[in-house]
Amino acid sequence: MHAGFAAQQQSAGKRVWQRPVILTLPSWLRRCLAALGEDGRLLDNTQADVLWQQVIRADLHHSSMSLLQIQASAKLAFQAHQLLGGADALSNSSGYPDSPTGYLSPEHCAFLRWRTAYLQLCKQHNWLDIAALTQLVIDAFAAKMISHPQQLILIGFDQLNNIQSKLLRQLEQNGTAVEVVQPSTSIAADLSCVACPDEQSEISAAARWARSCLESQIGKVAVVVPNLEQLHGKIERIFRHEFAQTQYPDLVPVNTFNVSLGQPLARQGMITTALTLLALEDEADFESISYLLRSPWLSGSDSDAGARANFESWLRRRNINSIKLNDLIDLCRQRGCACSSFAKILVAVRAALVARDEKTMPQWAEHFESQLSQVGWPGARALSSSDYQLLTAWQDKLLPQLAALGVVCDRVGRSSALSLLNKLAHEQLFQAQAQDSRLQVIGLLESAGLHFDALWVMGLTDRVLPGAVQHNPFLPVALQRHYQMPHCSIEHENVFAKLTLQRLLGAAPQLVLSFPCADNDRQLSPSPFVQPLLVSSSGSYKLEQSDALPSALHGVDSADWEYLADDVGAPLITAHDGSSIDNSAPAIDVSGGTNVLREQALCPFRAYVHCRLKVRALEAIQPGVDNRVRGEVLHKILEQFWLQVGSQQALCAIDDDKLYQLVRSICKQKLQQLLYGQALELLPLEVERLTKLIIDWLQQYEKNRAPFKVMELEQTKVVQLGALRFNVIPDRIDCLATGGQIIIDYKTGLVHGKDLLGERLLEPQLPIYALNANDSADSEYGEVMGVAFAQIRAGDCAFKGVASADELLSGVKSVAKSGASKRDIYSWSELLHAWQQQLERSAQDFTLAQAQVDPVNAQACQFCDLQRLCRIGGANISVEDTETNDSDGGFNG
Amino acid sequence: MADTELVDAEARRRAVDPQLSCIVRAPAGSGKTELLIQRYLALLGRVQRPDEILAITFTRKAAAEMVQRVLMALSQAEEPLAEDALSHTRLTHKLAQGVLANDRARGWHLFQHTEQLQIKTIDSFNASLVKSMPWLTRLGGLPQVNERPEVLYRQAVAKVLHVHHAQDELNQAIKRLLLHLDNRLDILQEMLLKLLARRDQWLRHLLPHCGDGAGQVRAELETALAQVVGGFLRQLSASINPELQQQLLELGGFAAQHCARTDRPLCVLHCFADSAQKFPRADVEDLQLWQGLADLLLTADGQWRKRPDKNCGFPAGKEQPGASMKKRMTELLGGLSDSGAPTGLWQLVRQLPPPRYSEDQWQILQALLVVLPQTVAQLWLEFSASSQVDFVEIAVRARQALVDSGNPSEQLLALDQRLQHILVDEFQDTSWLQFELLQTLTSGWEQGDGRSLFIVGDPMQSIYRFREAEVGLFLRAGSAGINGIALQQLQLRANFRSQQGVVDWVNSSFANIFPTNEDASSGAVSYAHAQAVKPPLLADALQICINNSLDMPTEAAKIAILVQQIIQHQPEQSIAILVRSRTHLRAILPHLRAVGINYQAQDIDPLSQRPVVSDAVALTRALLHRGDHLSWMTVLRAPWCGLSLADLLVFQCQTDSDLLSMLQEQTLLTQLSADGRQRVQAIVPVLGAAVAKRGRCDLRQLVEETWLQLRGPECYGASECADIEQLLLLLEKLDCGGDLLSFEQLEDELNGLFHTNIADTAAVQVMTIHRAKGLEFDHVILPGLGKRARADDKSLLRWQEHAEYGLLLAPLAARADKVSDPIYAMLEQLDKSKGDFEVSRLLYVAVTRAKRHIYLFGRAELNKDEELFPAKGSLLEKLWPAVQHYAVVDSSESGVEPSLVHNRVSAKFWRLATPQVNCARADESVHDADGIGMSAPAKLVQRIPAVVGTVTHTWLEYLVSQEGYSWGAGKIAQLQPKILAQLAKAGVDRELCQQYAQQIVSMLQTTVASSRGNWILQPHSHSCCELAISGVDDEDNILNLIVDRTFVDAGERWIVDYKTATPVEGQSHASFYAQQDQHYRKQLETYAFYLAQLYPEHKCRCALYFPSFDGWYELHNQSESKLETQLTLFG
Ligand code: SF4
Repeated sequence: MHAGFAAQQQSAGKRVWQRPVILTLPSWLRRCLAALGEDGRLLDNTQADVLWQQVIRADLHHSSMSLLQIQASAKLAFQAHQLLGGADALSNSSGYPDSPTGYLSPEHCAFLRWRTAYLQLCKQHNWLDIAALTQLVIDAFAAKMISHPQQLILIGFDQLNNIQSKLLRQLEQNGTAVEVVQPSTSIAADLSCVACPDEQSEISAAARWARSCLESQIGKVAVVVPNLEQLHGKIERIFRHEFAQTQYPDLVPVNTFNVSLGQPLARQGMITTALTLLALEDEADFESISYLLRSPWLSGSDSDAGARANFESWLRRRNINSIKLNDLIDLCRQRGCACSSFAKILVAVRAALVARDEKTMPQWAEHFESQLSQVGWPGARALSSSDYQLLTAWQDKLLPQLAALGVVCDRVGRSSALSLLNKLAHEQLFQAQAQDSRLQVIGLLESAGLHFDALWVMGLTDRVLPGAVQHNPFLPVALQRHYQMPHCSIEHENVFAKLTLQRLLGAAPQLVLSFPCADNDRQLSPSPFVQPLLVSSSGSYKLEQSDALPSALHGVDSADWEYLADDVGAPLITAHDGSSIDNSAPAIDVSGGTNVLREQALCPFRAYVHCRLKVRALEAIQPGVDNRVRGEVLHKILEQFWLQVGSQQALCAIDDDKLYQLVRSICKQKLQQLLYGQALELLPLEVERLTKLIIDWLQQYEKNRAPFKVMELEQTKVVQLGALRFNVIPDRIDCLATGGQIIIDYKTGLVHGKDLLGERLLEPQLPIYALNANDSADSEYGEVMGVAFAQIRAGDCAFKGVASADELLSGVKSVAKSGASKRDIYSWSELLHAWQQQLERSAQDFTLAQAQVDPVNAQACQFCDLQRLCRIGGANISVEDTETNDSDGGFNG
Repeated sequence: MADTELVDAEARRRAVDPQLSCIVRAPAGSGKTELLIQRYLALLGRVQRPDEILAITFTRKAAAEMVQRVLMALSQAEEPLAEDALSHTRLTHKLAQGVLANDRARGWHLFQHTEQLQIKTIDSFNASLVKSMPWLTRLGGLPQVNERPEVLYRQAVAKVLHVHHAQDELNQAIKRLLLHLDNRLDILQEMLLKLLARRDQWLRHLLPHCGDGAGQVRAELETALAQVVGGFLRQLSASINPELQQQLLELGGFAAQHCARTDRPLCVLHCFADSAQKFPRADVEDLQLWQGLADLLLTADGQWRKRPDKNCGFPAGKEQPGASMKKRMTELLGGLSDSGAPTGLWQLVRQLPPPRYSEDQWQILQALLVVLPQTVAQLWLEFSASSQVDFVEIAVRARQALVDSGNPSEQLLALDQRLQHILVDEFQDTSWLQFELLQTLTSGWEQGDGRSLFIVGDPMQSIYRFREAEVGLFLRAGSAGINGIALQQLQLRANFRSQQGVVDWVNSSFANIFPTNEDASSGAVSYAHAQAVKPPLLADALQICINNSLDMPTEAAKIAILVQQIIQHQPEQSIAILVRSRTHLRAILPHLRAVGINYQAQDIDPLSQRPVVSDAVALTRALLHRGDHLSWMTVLRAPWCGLSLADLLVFQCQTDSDLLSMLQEQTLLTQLSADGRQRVQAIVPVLGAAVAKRGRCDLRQLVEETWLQLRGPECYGASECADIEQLLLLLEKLDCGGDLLSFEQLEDELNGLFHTNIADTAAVQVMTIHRAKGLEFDHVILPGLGKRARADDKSLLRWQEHAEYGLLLAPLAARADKVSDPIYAMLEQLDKSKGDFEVSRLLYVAVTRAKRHIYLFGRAELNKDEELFPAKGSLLEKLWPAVQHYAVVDSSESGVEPSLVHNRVSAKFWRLATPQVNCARADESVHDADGIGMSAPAKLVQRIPAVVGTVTHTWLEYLVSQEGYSWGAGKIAQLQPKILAQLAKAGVDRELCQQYAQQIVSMLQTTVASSRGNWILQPHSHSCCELAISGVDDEDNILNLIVDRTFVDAGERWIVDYKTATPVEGQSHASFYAQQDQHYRKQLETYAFYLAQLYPEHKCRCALYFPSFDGWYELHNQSESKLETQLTLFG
């Protein structure tokens, strides 16, 4: 409006003028108060809000009740209080007029209780709130304590409430010329009314319209959006996309158009980081740590970004669910200098947390300020102008607001102060200012009293005009009706809707009204007030179908595609004729052991990615003890146990009590070594669990099988397969009393014996051990006669494997009785031979980097982290069917 | 269609009688909606306010539709009725006219204020209650309802599941549970999550007792179990006539005495030998006797015994009475088996557990009972912290608030809810919680007080058990009324939807598929015959394809052909393919695609598996996490880059390096193939810029813009890209300062989303049966009938809320796959039979969607005897009696080559052929570092001088305004409290306030004490404080200025600016003034420049006034400095 006045003055040829006082009513009232010298008494709305919260908290404390949303209740109660003030009601009495039945709802009783306490506090501290402000000013005018203005013009007041009318009466009495400007009753010359398919297309159409208005330089353009607060992001996005397509960037404010209201400060990255950092406590959860490690708004975020990200991944591998700040600092330091900058941040946080005392709000504001500056917030990267505006909003608005809460808050602890800060940050809206008034996107209320050259009003459904009747729950409905409080009745809404529409109709010579027809699968109707216009209006604007398309994201069928059969990677050795490998070439060491072959059998692509590209998904944090670690611990315990015990005979000689002690002590020792930092408090439970599990295992399986001696434990061997050389470590090799070796591999998960026998060798490690034990001259124990997994899991223990004869190991069958017969393999030696071939083929495929996306079955994909990379997703149908179809494996190169 | 009287005309008439409270069974196609509308209109014509009627619908969509239909009826009533209107149209018209009259009479303006119509879902009604009762509900206002509250549950559970609580009892309980569950925190966590989601069902049973000790709870739980056992015994007992009872008494007693083994259950029957002994009662105490009888009658595998022998108390031999007893027994058994009497109930009773927990079991349950209340309490805190709740909380609190008010009807009145009439649609899918709400709403109602209840639904279509629907409530309401309000039971029979052929087949089949006796507690609903209004069609209503060779591809191919045929012959008719679970469709859809049939499938394909989405997710993760190597690789492999496997090796993962840095490293780039290098170099700038932009814009914008720059829309084809919007919306939802808090949550929520294909020209609708409820189609195809349902849920904790008995809770199993506890088994059995009944109803819903034809496809199994049989747990099993004779053995091999679905695999690596990105987007012109040169905002401490300045200014202005008042030092000192308040309000710390207030006071005192000060404050002509002026500078910028003080004295205009600065220690006034001159000269001269223009009649003089020491400095050399200003302005 100042701008309008300025333009008028300028066009009148003036270079300088006295600015008229143009204010919102509340700020003028505040000025009046200042003129009385009383402005120190006035609580701003945030302070009053907090005061209401305190009152409610005290009440709850007193009655030992709980309330889920104290903030929201305080808001509602404060609102009710303001409504009473606005209606000039109950200013003296503290009760309601009796309801006809004498029933007073507990809601209303509660409110009265709170209000009494609130008023008491105000009185005690000589505070004044917005609800009492108008009355005070009226009194001041009545007592002539301040001089009245000569002229008062009210613009955009659709309806005046009781107390406002009272004020005007007083001013008129004092001699002020009061003029309430009524909206013009004219109707836009060019009025169009359009129905859009849905909200999205409505916004798109409005954006396109705005662009064309701007391009044709019509003048001041505005778009009114009734629920702007919710639609803010969407509007901004769609308008931005639309404007970016302009051919006349000088006519269209491509990056500088203004959407009013904005988003809460707390949603802005810089501020979110600050709040997250301030929220850290002595024990931090992984999510916050991860967020801060990745945040670009801290010192070192730029230079050490890579190192921090890798540290984050490392914490995931260690399954750090939550961690003490001290421990985290140690871990950080261990990781070396690239993480030391983060360690410094944490040290600063820890130092800031030391102050446990209660502080006043201004002290907290300064405390938070200094904590943030110590961690280098908002980082070292160059700030953009909107970053600066954001920082300024934080520093010049938010922190002072927090400090100002000191008026109503006494000393409080850190967490209370933080939650107030959070509340403010969520309420304070931020919009980077772009100085450009050619286009305004505003809310319905904001548009009151404004005038434009072209205006689009969207979202005019029957839910917006008329608005919904809304009662404040803390005031009796009858009371609200009696005083005709806002939104209290249909009649009220009816009048209001008519006024609003009338004002909009006259707000611009060129006007488009629109509404969406549907919201997802729900049909929407136009406002009944707009409906008559739908038929009668004949404006120049017509909705073209293409206008409503959300253009940017629409897919296009591009000609620029190519399909590739890229299923061979970079081979380890170049083959001479493409198939066989020159055996004289030096062997290649493969890290990861036999797992390479397992993966190759499961899915060649997976082997290439896991073992050559060495890529795996980020680990997800598990609750409790990590299952991967559990497996490892069990291995170590059993290794240690057999190292000490050595044979079945020795095992049987230990009495139950001793056995328990022995196992328990080993469990304890190994767990402490291997659990690192995770889930420490569960350690005693884990000891107990493992002890029981292992004793069960020993008693039921190891004691009851054919007698044996343990021959080897976790001994590394070097094995060569084709061009590949592996380190392999069999968990254990037993020698049976009757002669012959059994190779045993511990598993804590479910294993299937058939994975040793299938077309693809899904469990290659036992076969490798078997084949290579034979090779070794270690024959004093006889030949390998069987291999087996020892599946050790609570309630589900078993030996699973295959052997040269039945009953060598309980539960393990001979080759002939095993599933191998399906492949016409009946004897141990045949099986060994088949294994050799399978392994060699796998090794060769791996060497040649055969990397087809060819999973052995659907489960392979289910437990695979590469679904996005291998792009199996779209084709998963075929994968699902392979099990039933029996026709898989058709795509081997 | 002739307008003849319908079979159920009387029922329909009564249903619209506003005086009558009734419950209407409205089977599929019976025109329920119209009836509901009529009832609603009938009421609306009589009430004083529209919101005296509450209509509750099942979905929001249904509510919106009903509102539309009511309004439509009303607007049609403004027109005269057509001559040939049918009777129900006439009725609607008449009722609507009544409403219009009422509307006019009472001035409702219904058309303009449609929200007066209270037609809503129960959830939104609950929400409105919560909204109006912030205090009673304890929610403090309507919180946001989180439709995926798992996150909140998870947080709550995570916070409870540790063992360092202050309460040791809780720690011990958690430890006990953990040990029981193999120390698997994850399992315990999942269990608690599930429990939280359904806490409305157990909370009220468990929590009230927290104080009274565990013994009480145990007693109640065991009583409930005992009642279940008793219930089974009653059923069995009822099936035994007195004659049989007598026989059993005698034979049982004999058998027990002569049994060769003493460890048999039947040995307990020896008490029967006592002639005073009565037949066992249907009571848990006699359970063992019943089990003894079962042992007497049944073989180990649950058949009637063929011949009694010595092991069951009937030794061989001719002696009496043995021989005759044995004969009697044989006859009895023969009679039982000949009569075909089922053994099921006997078998069940034989397995029934004694309704007691063992000590061990109880210990574990007790631990659970310690943990649960804490978890609920923690959940409340999570709700509070996030200001979000789940639907359960809203529903529970809404009702509880009414109850807590002590007087629900008064309370409702106080809320301006004058409910007189309630209508509930789809009542068959009501849950307990909703039922209770209804009870509360109607409390205080009395028969004949003019209020009415109207309940409509179809128990035969109750299929929402998984959402806690209890069909038994419908039956109960029918027989017992609600809250003492008797409901007249009305049954509709006319079917307006389906042709007679369909109706007849459904009648004949489902009468047998549904149970004959209704039972509220097990949810058994019997079939109600329908009568077709539409005449039969010529062609068969039913086509059935059931054989043993119908595998998925064959079936899919057949269906594709069928659909083609229908489209060919009846192109205008609607077709639907309905399945029980969406996985059944995965084979059919590719076939439809393959033969070029347009279909519309909703909620079938998981979104996360669409390439367009999965690549965009990888992109998102990569941008947010430099160390997510896999996601970066995926970005390199995605169509916009399409790096080959061999080239990817260059970027193989290395410790302590991240992919973005590697991509920017020249030495690595040289190792790439030429093509690969081009591709990488094309996209790296885009990715680099995006990473730099992170945190500066919202997440959606970051991803969306990067995706567009990478030519995302070109990568997947037009139809696929629609899915990206859903992902972007999800990113908006999860946005946390332009970043993600947890990647896992993204993946989690993504899993709940599905691909939507919107084909306007879709010839076929594809959906689950649940989704099809309420819809109708000309042709309904039901594939996969032979498929087994998903295996029953083997939760570790089995429990349910029973209508009469309360909470039934089985002991906690240690491992899911090894549950063998008899109590557990009993509850499982209860669940199973309920589920079984529901399966029949699901089938009913499916077939009654058809207007013209039904097509059934199912694969049957072949047993050893070459007989066909349906797979257990399949829909076909239910349908078997009705379709058995259509099933054929097919010995030919399946005819479809499997390749049809297969060959997509090899084609899946594709990419854009030209390596190039889209950088022409204008918004890239925003410079990230355009803030260079801007200064950082001041620190808080640095703000204080400004605050002091402002406050001083306001008081100086105040002093001016108090004309004629003489201010002495004392009076000024009295202002101190006000000054203190102002400083505090500006955020100055209390401890500093005093000092600064003192400073201000002394400045003011100095001013009023000095003659110069007095001169400034005095009334003058043209006197102004804080004068606001605007001027236009030479570049046409508007400057807004505020002049502290100006007045005219002796013909000269003075322009005075107050400054609170003081010389630093030891500084001379001269040097201080020189300094100030430098600072403020320009500013003052600008004031002077414009004021001189505005008021040219006076010459301007400018000065600075320093109240702290009564300093005064006038700026001289105006003309000279004027020049200077001009120079700077022009320069
Ligand atoms: S998801 Fe399946 S196809 Fe893809 S790499 Fe893993 S196992 Fe292979």
